[in-house]
Amino acid sequence: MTDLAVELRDVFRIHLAGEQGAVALQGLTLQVRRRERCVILGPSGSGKSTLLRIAAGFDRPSAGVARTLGVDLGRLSRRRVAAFQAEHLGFLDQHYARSLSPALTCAQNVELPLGLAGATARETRRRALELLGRVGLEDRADDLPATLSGGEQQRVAVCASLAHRPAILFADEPAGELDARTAAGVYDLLGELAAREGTTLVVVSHDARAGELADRVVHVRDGRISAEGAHGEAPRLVVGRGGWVRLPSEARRQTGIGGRAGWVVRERELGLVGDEEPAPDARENAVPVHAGELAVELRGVEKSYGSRRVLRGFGARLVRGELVALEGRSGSGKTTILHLLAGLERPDAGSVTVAGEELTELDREQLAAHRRDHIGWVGQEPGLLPFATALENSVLALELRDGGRRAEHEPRARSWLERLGLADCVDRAADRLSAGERQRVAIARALARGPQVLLLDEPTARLDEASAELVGELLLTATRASNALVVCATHDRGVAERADRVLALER
Amino acid sequence: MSRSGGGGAAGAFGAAPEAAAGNVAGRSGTAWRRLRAIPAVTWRRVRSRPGRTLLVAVGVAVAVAFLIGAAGGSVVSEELALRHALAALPPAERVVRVSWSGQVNPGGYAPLDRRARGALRSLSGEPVDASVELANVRLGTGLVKLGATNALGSVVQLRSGRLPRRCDDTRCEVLQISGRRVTAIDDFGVHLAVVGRGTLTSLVPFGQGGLATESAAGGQRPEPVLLSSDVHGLAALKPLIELNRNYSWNAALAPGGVHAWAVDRLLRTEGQVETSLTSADGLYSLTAPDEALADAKSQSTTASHRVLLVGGSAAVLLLAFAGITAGALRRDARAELRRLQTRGATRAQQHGFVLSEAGAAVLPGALAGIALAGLADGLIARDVHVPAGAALRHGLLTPTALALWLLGVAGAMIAVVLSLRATDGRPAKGVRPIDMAAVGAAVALGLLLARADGSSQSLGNGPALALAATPLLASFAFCVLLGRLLEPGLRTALRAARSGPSTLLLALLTMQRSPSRTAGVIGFLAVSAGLAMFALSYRSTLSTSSSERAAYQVPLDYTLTVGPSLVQPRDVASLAGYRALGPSVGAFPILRQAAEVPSSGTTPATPTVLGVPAAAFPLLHGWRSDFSSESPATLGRLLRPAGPVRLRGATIPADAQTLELPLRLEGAAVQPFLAVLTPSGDADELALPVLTGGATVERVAVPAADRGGRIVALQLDLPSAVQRSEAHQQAEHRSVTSGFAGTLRVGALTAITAGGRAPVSSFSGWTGVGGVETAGRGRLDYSITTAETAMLRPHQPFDERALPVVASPDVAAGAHPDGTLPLDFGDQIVQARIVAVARRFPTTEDSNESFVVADEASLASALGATNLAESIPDELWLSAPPAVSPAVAAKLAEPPFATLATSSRAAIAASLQQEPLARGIVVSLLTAAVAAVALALVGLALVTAGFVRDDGDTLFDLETQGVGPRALRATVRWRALGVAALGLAAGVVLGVLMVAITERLLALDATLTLPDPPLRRVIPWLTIGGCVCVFAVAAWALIELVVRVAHRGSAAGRGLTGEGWSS
Repeated sequence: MTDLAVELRDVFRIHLAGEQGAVALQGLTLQVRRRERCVILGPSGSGKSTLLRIAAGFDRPSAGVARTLGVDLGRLSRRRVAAFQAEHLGFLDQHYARSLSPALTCAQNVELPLGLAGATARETRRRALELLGRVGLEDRADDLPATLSGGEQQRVAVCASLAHRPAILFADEPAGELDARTAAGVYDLLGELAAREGTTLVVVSHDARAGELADRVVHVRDGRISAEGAHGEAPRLVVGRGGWVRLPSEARRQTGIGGRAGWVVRERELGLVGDEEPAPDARENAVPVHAGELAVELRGVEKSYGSRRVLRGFGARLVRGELVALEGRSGSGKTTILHLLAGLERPDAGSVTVAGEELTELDREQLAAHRRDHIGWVGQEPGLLPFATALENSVLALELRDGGRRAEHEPRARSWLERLGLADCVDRAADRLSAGERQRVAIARALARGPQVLLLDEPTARLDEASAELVGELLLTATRASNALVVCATHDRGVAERADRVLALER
Repeated sequence: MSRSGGGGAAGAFGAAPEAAAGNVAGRSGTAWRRLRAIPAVTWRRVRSRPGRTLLVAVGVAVAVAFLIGAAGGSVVSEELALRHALAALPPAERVVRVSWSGQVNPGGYAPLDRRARGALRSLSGEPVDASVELANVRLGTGLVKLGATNALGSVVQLRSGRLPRRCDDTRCEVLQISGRRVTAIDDFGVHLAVVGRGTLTSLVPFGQGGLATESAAGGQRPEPVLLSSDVHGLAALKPLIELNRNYSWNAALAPGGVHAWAVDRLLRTEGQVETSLTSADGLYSLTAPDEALADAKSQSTTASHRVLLVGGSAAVLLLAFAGITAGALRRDARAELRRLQTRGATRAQQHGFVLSEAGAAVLPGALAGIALAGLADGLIARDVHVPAGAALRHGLLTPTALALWLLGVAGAMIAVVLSLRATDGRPAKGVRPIDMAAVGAAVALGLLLARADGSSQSLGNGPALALAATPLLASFAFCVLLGRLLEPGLRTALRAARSGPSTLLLALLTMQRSPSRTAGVIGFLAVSAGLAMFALSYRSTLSTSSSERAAYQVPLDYTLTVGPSLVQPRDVASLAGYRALGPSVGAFPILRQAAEVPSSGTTPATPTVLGVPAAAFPLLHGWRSDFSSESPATLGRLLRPAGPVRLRGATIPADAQTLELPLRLEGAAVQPFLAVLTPSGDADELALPVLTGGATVERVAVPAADRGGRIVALQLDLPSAVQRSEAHQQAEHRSVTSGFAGTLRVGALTAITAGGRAPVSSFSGWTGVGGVETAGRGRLDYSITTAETAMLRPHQPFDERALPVVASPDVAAGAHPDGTLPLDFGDQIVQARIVAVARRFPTTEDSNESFVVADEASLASALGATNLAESIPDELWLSAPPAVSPAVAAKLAEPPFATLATSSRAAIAASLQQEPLARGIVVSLLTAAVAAVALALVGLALVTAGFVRDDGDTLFDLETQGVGPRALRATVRWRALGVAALGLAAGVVLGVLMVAITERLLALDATLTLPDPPLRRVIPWLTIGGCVCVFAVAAWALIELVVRVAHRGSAAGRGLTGEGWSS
């Protein structure tokens, strides 16, 4: 019997969604011991979800070895992988609404894995009530999930994921949609239940607070393990096979390490010497905004979704020529603010003024016209027209704004696509592009329009680090060059570091 | 559950060293519980949101109901068709008959009767009528025919007296049916008492040819036919016990008494019963209308195929609808499937979930559909007086029906499963399995078409399932082809739309997002529209066929012929009298004869020779371009005579009382006749006494009807005694006298009137034909044979010129290269000249469409020149404008016209259209058409809602780019309308295809007979255009409604419902 619950060795994973493919994992090596609680942290697009999917058998590595409980799932048939998963693995999703069947009661949702395994009704019921009792929801056993709060639903989802006593529980952003207090409760619950059940816990997240439940925190960047450390300790760089080390970007910037570096060995110390001037801090580098024209003003904005209040008396004044980062946990209202600024949603109360127009006074047709004239939008889902090429998508956006013929808009659209590193894919249909490429097309499309206010929702979520940095720079450049207001909801530190202002949202 | 946490992988996975402790998989009953877990989830899902599943289930229910209902309905159709066919049989042929012929047997009549009745009971539940017919016997003053039947009361019409009762050796009461009148016969120990007289109305008890008398066969005065009602008594009369006799026992086959499902068994049982009877007594025989039953069965099978075809078409459509509605379940089912995956469902359980989700909608739907089909079939059966229980048993529980059950359920399952599993991505490139399947379907369809020659036989032997699958095959192959063409078509449209409105461009781009789904929707609409068009077209085809058949039988509005009272139309009224029936009524005498013509083979053809007045041609109804490339008016013009065609002759003064003719004969005896064409157009012969030799002045009285008429010939016949002798010699194959020759001198014909004598004709310039030669000064040299008619007559219009005719292709093929053609009427040959060829001509179906048509007056003139009687029309066609037609019909139903046999075109057409089976088929087709259009509209609404829902992310993206709600609605509208328009256009093509296919497969008309003229495809473009307009307006309104409702609420809220890229 091996003591390793998860063993990934030099795992590569190339997604072939685009014609060129996108590398999600590049030589990642990770070992998780049995009963260990391992939290994998990393920004969006770092490859942590791919890592999880491969370890859980939902995906197969393009190269390398992935063993789970000693079994190389990549060599098994899909039927046997499913049987293995059914017997040994548990899964917990970020979206509790997606995890729980709305047609089943809380108890039935918890019973389901046991029922699928062939347990008797009495066994499944006893186990479900036991777990629900542990999370304080025994009295809600026969209620439908929709009648519970988000935190309660996620607690039910935790119970459901552990009901059949899996050897390993894989959790993907388990508190991604919860407020800080509820999230902390869920982390505690996960840690406690996993410990009590003797379950190996593998959690991926970009929320550093998830590390609080961990025996070990692993950091992933660009498809590799970059650092790791025990809970409460400073992370230590991981030296990969052949001595590969991934230097933190901030350290590289501070030390002027660009394309080349010298090194110095002193006893047990290794010193690296950059051959470039250290880059100033992004905030320091930013051109100060002097008396910028007011672009956006939110006053006393209230917004609720059902019983969930997202914004309460929110206010902000943002000026042109400013790059503003909206930071906060998932569900903290970042996307809602962007929607309100774009006129895609209306506040329950308060006022939203954008480019001099009070949006609450406009009807939907006027809002669309306002958006067309003043606002650029890049959503989390780059909703490009799939069969249109990257260039056509960009040109179409310009046509919609300015009218005119394709030929008039094509040079500008092409220029922005090239600036975002998409010169090779301008004539490729959007559904033939990788997720990152699509994201960049969406950004190029928005920038090409030269809006007064540019709104972006997690623009680097699907980008590798280099592309993310490129986008960050471009956003800053666009802010400065066009004197636009750029508001960016992001978890990416790289973007936040370049921002003139960071609006931190908390629930 | 007691497995400890942290256990390793099971040994089954090789590398895992430790087994999961307390693993539930090892326990008894686990497999069953695993199996049960999935349906339980589905059940809870359905219970929580029954609406969407219900929608699919309703679609499946209606689909299965149509399919299964068609199977059940086909039995009702078979039954109706069988009734129809049986009803068409003469009553005497509609019985199962056991006969026994011979001298009396030792056991007497009783054991024969028992055995025969027993045999018939096993074949029919109908009452058995017995009869006996004795050989002719001389009693009293002459021969007597004696018979008896216990059904006497029902087969005679009593004219006097009463029905007989007893019959025994002391007194046997009888009813006299025919022959010389008798009252009683006491002879040879037989005491017959005639108690009544009557007329036999049916020969069914005695069979066709029964009660035939010897004297009637010999042409002598018929002997009396005396019938008793006591079969046993007559059979047991001791003095006649040695007489040969024929016993019969009959069980009627009432049109509703033999069921379609029992025909095969009846035919089998007949064989067994006959064997049993003849093995018991070789003098027994069994007869039944086996051939007619087999034909009826074949015809009824065709009826069931027709119904299956309609049901199959509807089922295809409804299954497509079920698939479309199932699309609403897809997103939710996929989400549940993902949850199950993460909750540990095995692959089998995942597959089971999809099947379970489909089954949840399909199985209740199918059961409901079967119940619905049973209910509908039961009600229909009851409505048309078919035993509902038996119809359902034989309709829904046969192997074919069970196969259709399975086909329906499997089809629905496949449609729903495919819909649940469908993806919205680009279709795969290259040849896909579905392409291969479509090619297979096309090949199967081709084979089916190649096999079918349109005859009832080929259809009767054709597999029912294959026929029902015809629309399925055609629709499937067509839809796959459509899908294949869609992507390049969209690309072309996109290029063209670049300069058009941006909303159109966006609509095309969104259509491109999921071409498979777009193709599926277009396919559904195409099938709906195609079926509707097929239904409308086929209905029109059948309706037109009824009208054309009616017009083929009655080319104008009414046809009058000799009726049961043997009165000719010309005897009832003159042409002027018929024209006086109403304003603008036209009356046209029709001459119908048969002639032999040379043909391309060795056997001469015998076409119908039809004389139709040239003026009647433009009035012909139902003329089709496939009859002739020429119009009826043109044909009439071609046949119209260039000059006068009236028969020439000597006019009899209107006040003539007697005609006087001096004659002197030297040679064989002859009988002269004067052939007279009466003023009313009739032919008459004034017979002069037989001339045996010497000079004489013969006189003949002129009947009133002949006064003012024309003598067109002086005919010389052999005396009747000589003719009989010649006929006898001919019958005995002895040499026939070559001719009876001599010389006849004919003087001037004079009319004796009240005012004196008036010359009629000196016969100057008249010519002799048929063995008569003129030698000047009234001298005729004759040599008469039985082969031709000898006569002296004036030169007639067609003596030198040929008769212009229109001929059928087979007749034309035998003509001389110059177009002339000898028409051999037996006693004369008329030279005809073909002026046009036509493939068909009304009322000539009896001669297998072999015909020669001439102008009536011309034909009458040509025929009358030699045989006046043959030139007299005995048929009349009437034309009446629609406004006066009912009044004309009413007058024709009253005396004196009521004595004629009248056929009305409108009545025949109405009868054909009102025939229950025809109506049933047409109503089925109309129902299918309405259902198709309604489903297309509902489907379009669902699909439009689906566009908004499934393309929420794309629409949201467009809205983020500043596209306003109006433009977004326009985008969806363009897309929905584009799909609707493409679907409609494709539907028209599919409809035409289906009409063409079914035209080939089903050449029979709505009454299931091969129609004359054959079915001709009729596509009612005007009606279809109207339907398209109504559909377009309704579709526009529905789309607008759906689009407006779907675009309510915040943009972000809608956008977030989109499935997005990553999922």
